[in-house]
Amino acid sequence: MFSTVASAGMVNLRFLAMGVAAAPSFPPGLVRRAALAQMINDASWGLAHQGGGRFDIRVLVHSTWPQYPAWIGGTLLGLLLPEVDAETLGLDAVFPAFFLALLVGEARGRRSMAVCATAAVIMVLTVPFTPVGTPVLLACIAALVWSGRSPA
Amino acid sequence: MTRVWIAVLVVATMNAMIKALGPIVFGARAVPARVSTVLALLPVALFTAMVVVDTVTDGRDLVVDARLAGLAAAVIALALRASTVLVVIVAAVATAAVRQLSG
Repeated sequence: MFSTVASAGMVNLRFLAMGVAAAPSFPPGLVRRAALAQMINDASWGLAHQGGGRFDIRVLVHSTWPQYPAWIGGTLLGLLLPEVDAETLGLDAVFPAFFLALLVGEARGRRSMAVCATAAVIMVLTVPFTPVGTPVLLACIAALVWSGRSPA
Repeated sequence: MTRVWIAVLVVATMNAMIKALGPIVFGARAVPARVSTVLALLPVALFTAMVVVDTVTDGRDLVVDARLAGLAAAVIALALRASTVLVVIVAAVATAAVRQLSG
């Protein structure tokens, strides 16, 4: 049981990085910020990104609510129609394609490209040797490494 | 059953804290310029990380499977300036097609 809890926590570590990235865009008030931060998930965080590290918190919130019935509905659908396989439909390609579209919109200029390339290298090098979930955090080092350079 | 619910509660609490930590620690007041540059570059690093994790990994293994073909199709769709929704659909269809043909 402990290892299940621990690995769930590790996989969720990416939300720490997503929260840090979106932090400056949150409205003031500690409790408010903590509450609004609960709206972070892969899709809402990606959709809320406005470019250049700015996030629209309203988009974050309003893109999260509809996901709840969709999530429950999807689970129900899987239960009722066990013969429908998400992988047969190629649904596991949805999220990488979504993030790729966001990446292409954001990786403009030499510094962003360098961050992208560095993050990719960190991922490939760390995935086989670190616990699941940690490589995403380690990829953030790429942002740190290039932050001293000029954007162009 | 009780043990399962305890685990659910623990994971939920942990997850809530993980999500809240960033917005609580950073940005409540003005952050130094260098920090805000790092924060501004984080999305690129994270988008990249998510693409890699979701495309070529399975747990701790690096794998090449139909998802990569789907991503290649997404690249083409993006180059043709397709909307994000279309890009996602193209990727799913391509992945499903390659899986069908190879499996």
